[in-house]
Amino acid sequence: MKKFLLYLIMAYLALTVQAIFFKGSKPDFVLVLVCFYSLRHGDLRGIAYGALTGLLIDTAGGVILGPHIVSKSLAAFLIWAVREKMFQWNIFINTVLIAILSIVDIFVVYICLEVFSGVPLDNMPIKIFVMQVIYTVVASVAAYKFLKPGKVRDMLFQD
Amino acid sequence: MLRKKFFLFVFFIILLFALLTLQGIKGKSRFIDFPLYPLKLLEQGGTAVINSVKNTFNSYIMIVGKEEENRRLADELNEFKEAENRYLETGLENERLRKILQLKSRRHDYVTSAEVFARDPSSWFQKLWINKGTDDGVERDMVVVTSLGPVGRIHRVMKQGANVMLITDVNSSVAVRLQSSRIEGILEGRGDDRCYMKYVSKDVKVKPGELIITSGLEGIYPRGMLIGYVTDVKSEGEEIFQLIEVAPAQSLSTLEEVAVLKR
Repeated sequence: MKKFLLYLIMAYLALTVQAIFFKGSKPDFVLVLVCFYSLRHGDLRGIAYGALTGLLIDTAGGVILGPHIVSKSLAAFLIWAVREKMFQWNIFINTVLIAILSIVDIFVVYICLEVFSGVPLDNMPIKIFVMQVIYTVVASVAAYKFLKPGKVRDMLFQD
Repeated sequence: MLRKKFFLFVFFIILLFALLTLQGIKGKSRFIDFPLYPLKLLEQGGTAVINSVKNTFNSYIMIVGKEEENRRLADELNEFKEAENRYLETGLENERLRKILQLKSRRHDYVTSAEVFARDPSSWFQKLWINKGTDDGVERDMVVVTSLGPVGRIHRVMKQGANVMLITDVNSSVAVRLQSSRIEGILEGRGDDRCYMKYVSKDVKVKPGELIITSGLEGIYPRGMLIGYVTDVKSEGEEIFQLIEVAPAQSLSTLEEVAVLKR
């Protein structure tokens, strides 16, 4: 319960920072949080938390079920699946993966919005997404020291 | 084990797609607003802290170079600056509210005034939340304005809050016309701080800086309101129409108080 509340607080804080400090192109701090949490706790729990944060983002956007619930649970699943296959984990692998997942996230949201909502996205300039990926990668590098997996004693989401 | 979990995950995603399809077919469903309350509190608190830090920083810049005097009068000055900031903030708020209230006497379609309490945290949409809903007579598709012109329309309504789709949102379309030539077009949001005016023939000469007003033809926005100005015109290629880049008449990222008008 304590862990759940801590996660929820961090997710809300990430959303607040995204909404207040950034106009136009916004970083995806929540994706970074979901990825790190999934790395720590893996499998179904990571996916459940990914889905929960996706639900929060969608609610803040004015819908109940939206594309972020799909994209964030997919990100949690993918990062955990990759982690399972890796012998080691370092900042380089972590950064590359978050960059890839950030692009996958944008792609999934784009497809979902086009297919399920019919939202016309052809007006959106590509620089919005490029900046989003850059911001997200920078955030993941900055957060790595505090959230990296494998460091059991000092970790934020300790079991 | 991985295989089993993979299938579970695929099942979960299929279930989500089914629910998304169902939601799309049903249209607007009942909205759960309780997850928004923490966000509302955090955003209001965060904005207040940022404004306070900004004001204090500005005050400090103003008094750089007078360190000696500043050291001697530091406490008094800080208190004074704090009070001044409060006064300034109240003054600015009063000014904004006065302009909003002027709308009430000027317009017969005025419904209510509202405060902005949260913004969309993702890059995908340009939406914000206001603190008035069905309890105050707000309905879907009502127009949200400030004294400088329209900013968007109501997208979703709750009892005590509403979601506003800004004119820069990718879903937004507004019937507009160029003020000088009276040529009509459609203003579509781009997803950042700009819009595109579309369906204007290449034969029409459009210059940067030209004003754009609402035409009222879509039956939502009142006609004749200033909505933006031309910043760039692209007319290359084989297209029949030119693409006109438009900047909103006011900054939509700093909105604090708005008024809601009937359709």
